[in-house]
Amino acid sequence: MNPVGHNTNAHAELVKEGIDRINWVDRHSPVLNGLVRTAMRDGSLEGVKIAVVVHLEAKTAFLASILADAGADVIAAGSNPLTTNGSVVEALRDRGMIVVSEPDGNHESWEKELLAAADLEPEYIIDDGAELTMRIGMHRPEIFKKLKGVSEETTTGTARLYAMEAAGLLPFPALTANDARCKHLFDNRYGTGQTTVQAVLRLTNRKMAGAKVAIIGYGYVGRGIAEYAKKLGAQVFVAETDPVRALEAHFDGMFVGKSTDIVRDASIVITATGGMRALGRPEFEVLKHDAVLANAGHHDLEVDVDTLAEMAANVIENRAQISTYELGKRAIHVLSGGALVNIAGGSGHPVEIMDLTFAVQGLGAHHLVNTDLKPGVHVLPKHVDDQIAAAKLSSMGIHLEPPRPEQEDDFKDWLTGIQST
Amino acid sequence: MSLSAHNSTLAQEGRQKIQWASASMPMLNDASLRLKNSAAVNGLKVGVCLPLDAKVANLALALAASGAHVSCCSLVQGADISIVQALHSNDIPVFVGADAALDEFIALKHNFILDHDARCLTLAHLKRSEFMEQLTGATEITKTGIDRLSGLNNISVPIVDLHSTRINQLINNTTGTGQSAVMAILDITNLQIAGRRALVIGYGRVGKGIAAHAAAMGARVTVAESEPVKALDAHYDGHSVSTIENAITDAELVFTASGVHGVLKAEHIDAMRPGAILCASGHGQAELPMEHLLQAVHIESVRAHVTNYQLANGKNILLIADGHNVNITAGEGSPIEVADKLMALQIIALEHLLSNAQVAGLCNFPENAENQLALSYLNHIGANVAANL
Repeated sequence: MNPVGHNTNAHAELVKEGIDRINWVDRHSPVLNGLVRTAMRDGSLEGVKIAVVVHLEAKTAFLASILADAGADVIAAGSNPLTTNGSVVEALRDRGMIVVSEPDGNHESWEKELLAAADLEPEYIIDDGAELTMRIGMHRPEIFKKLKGVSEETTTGTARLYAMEAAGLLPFPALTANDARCKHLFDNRYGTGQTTVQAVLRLTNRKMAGAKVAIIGYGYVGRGIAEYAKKLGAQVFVAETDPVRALEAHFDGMFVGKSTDIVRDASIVITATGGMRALGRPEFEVLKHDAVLANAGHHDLEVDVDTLAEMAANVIENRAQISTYELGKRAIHVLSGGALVNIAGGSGHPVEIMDLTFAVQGLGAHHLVNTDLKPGVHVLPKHVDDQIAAAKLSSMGIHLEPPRPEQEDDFKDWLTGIQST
Repeated sequence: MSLSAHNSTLAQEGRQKIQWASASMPMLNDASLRLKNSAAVNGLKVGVCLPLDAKVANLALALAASGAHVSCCSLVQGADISIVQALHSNDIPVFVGADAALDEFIALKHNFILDHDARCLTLAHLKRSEFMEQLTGATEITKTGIDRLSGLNNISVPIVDLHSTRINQLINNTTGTGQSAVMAILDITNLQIAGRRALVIGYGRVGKGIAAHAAAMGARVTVAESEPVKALDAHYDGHSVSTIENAITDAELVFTASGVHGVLKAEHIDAMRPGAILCASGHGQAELPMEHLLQAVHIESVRAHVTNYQLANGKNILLIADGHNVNITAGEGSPIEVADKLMALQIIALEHLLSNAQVAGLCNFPENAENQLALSYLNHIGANVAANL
């Protein structure tokens, strides 16, 4: 954008809006501002080149700012073409950060942005869906060899990193932030759970109480959504391919069945598998008229909108973020084009949740830089996870005490006894 | 873009919203079809004085399609301009905003008024009696409106009390406002409610709904209610019960839902926890000590619909939607399915006024018609009820 052109005022307003959004996050991020900033004050991130590739909105911008404040050389990129916020991008550029992403992109522009991030040769990546890591591996083998470490945000990306490790294709250490308890227990369950339900209601202006809601996938995300929908008065149906998780859904009070059975009566269907095409032709054929479909998983194709478009006689862009597919006499509505509805169609995860997730990511990056780890997938050490939770509790005035000696299990005495016989 | 092109884009957006709502309003559609066939309102002037949104717009359009001359007046803050434009493009006049709008609206001399907070009826009755001459009947939907009308003498027309209907009490106030107010707060702030301490002031139907939805989202809810039975109800619903004075120092999120003017006092504001969020959901600004808030040292908008008030005692308080009703100003009002029943009630009330001679003054909604409406919706969704009508 031309800094001296006729749209200078509009640009300044955009920057101001972005700064306001980031400041709002700052205000509600006690762990990032306390524990994480303190740890990074050791100067170890000074001059380290880190790419931050997460949905580029205010919370991610705040993490990028904290890394930059600690002296890191930050490259910011979006992890999805539909979730980049323009005001936040301009606010980061205004403070001198390199941002390779633009808002309102498509998959083609996004591929170019990620390659641009790759060509800046990051040493470390804070990744989401392993999107940048995989692309560097595929398209920039020389840079891939020089990568020093990756910290990964999601279930989908974690699975990809494990697959790379199993294939002998992971020459650097990778931390799975997702496997830290301070991430998946809260971000996936409460964060995605709350904001997915919130975005569906906001976009449709419909009611949850009394609605029949079908959820495909009962991992942490699916559980969170099911829990919130149920508490708000919905009847919740779950389809899950993993028998143990399906049993868990049953004991949680959900109606469990095959996807083609449970979607029949549903007025709202939400995908949360982290895989591809969770809803395809077999489900589309049995959906009832006026069903609303939304996705809470990583891929834009969990709801197979391409197949849905093939099946539809007509597609109408309804009110904001609602596409209506006409299948004979049935109208099927897809929210936010099938992209992550809580981010593309809402304002993303709650700030307090990202304070935890990004504490995991920030301290994860710090851990990668400061620890000599072997190539392969690693989990953030438990004591760091514990520190994050303790810092969050402490910010709310909640303090814990360790168990007293008499409260501990007497297995040590048993061990001594066994050894002496 | 020229102004008219801009307006037509807005009108298109408004029409989409109206259409989207219409698809989930089976009861209004039924009632509207019946009204059209009976031609009961053909040629009558009907004034819709309800806070305008896509659902109310559907009611206005249904009345117009039945041959009524419809005009709308929306007096709440932040009316959705796209809806206004969409109605304009259907030749339905809309008056928005201030008292002047209400003056113009009243001057149209309606035969029927569908009122909200009795704004239109009290003004016409007390100051503009010449505009009551044509009036045959009216409806009123809010508690505030019913209270105001109860205080007036010699009302010359029958006014159907929709506020007291069970559909309004049980379904609109509790699950409708409850869901939409709590979700609006989450949408506006992008914050989490799980684990937060929330204080709900007032445990009428709206307070009960807000408390239930906040608790469902994981908040730790305390209720302040001065009426003992309602407070006991809150206790058995699983909430903590306390006074405003005791609970306000800890609460991170404060909802007023009392409908009582000045329920929150200056000293309560000063005792609030720093950084706490304040949100009116009962009777808007009137429940808050706005004068005291406006004396803050520094007032700054920090985010859309969030204003930071730095008080003289150094604390910062975040006020949502300038103290107006959060679900209407910053959300889209009640969910469509809830509004469906309310809009149908409005039409049934009109039919009632037209078919039966009513005594002037407040009158009840016919109970049997309400049962019919509930039953017909349950049938519509395929639920079987062994109803005893």
